[in-house]
Amino acid sequence: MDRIKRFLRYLIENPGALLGFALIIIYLVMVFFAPLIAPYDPVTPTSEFRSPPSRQHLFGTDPSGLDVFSRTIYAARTDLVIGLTGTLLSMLVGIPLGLVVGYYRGWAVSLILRLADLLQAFPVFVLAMAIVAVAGASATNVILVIGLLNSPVYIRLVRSEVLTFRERPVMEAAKCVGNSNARILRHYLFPNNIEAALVQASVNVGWAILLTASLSFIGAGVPVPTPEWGSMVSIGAAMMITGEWWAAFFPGVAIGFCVLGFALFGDAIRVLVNPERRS
Amino acid sequence: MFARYWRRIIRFIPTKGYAGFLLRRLLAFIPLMLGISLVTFFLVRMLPGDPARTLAGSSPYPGVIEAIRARMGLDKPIHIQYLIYMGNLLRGDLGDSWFTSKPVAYDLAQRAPATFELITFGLIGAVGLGLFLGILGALKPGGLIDRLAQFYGLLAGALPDFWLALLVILFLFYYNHILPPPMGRLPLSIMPPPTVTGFMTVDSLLAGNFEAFRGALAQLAGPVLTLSLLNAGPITKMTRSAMHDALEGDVIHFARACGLPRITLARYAFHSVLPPVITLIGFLYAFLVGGAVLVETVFSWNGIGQYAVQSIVNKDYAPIQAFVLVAGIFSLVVYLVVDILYMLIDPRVRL
Repeated sequence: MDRIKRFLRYLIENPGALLGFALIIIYLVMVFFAPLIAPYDPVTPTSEFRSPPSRQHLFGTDPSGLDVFSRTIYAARTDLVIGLTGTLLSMLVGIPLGLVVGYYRGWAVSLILRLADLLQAFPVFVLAMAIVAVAGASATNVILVIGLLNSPVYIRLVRSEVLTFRERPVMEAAKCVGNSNARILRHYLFPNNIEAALVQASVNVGWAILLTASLSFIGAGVPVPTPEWGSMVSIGAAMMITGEWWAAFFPGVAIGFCVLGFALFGDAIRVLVNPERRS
Repeated sequence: MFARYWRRIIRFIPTKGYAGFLLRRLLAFIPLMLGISLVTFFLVRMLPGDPARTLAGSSPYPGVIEAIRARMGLDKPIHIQYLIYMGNLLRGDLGDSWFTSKPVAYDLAQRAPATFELITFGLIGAVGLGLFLGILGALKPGGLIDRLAQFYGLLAGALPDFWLALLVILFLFYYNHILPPPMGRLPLSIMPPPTVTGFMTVDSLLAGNFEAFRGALAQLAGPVLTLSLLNAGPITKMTRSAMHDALEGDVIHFARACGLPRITLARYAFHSVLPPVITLIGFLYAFLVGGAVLVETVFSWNGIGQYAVQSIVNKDYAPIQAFVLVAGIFSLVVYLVVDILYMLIDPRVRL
């Protein structure tokens, strides 16, 4: 009860954190309750083409007659699932590797670090674009690419934590008592060094969603009929030239608020977990 | 017998100090370049999907796929393919684009100046905006400008670049006619100046063609505005925190006690802002080669970013591969330059 009160007070004192939490809740509602909120089906055309925002079509319709509002809501599913799964994948790969790379020494460790370095040398979007272009545009491939390209971040983050933690007396004691390396990794290193990674995760989900939308915008992401914010902007872009702004405007706003929400959420988590670390 | 002379020569090879650092970094370049070439090589070869089949199109003639495979060298074992690839690279042969029917190296060289001009101006704009907001925010911490600047930093990182570019076009071109139509680097009615540097602005000034200069600036305004708005965020944050830390520090405290005016204090604090901002500028410059891709596409800028996007849509693999390679090498070079600059600026850094 006390924790809840402290948490609520924190939210009230920090409007940024409140906004972040509120946005995330709104988007989660969009993901789970899409069929209840959306007035039209996202892939079935209506009879109005290119019509501006109105009472019937809150965000207007696009060139194929699809209702932009409903598609924006359904697209939350696509984008958030891809973003969350991709980030989860990169954590599943990056955190254990980071623990191992921080704890052990040797040429294999250096090799893994070198590979991570190499992966980070390329501009992320370029590499993502190229990989998806060659492997084929699908949601699965986008998730895999996000997982691959974001793991070096976690490797480095966890590794730097482990490097300092490794020198502590508790580690020496654990070794003396006779713990095997595997047990040390699992029980000592893992719980104590993943905090920074978990905080980073929220911001990473935002980036993953931006990456997904950017890839879909150029056609190297989620294939077209599936509602996705980036591809919706791409469809609406052709209409923008004639001044019909609604088909591209609203999905972009959706992306912006979503990423903003995750960023603010991540900031709030960072402070909540460690109150001394304020920005 | 030659050992004596060899030892005398080796004594002159620097290992410590600036020269030593430079030498070591340049030597480290080689394995990194090798790594980059490996990654770009395997990008096309090892991923699922057969490039020969895709190039052949749907329902090809019986021998076509094998012929394409032989021409692309895909029938040889993988290490031979890599050696051929490296040999070509060292000779400057990046393959051919089947879409433009020209060598990729030619295509890239033709389009690279456009991208670099855009990125340079965009970075200048971002740095200007970022420094301005960051310094103002730090001078009055917690004030209105500070909080607005911080919120702007968050927002700038959240908005998609292609969307912002579209909005810039919509509001400044379509509704208000401030900007020219987004159709490339020069207005269609103006003749381009003779190419000296490849930068439209510089070349038109060198040729004395002020009409072209103004036209080029007008065309640059839209994409540069977009890039500046999007990338000023991290610079704002970094400037603000560095300046804030400096202003709270002992040196400024003492200077204020001595009675120095606020502007002088701000100038002193600004010195400590330079190292992290320069590092950040370097990172942003390397990032923008790939990060300006979408802005280029929306504004039809004909740079290497748009070239890469076109190649993706056309399933043209050689340009994609070459673009990744060029972007990777450029990033490495920029990081090296940033490290050197950092060492020159900050006397405490001793490598």
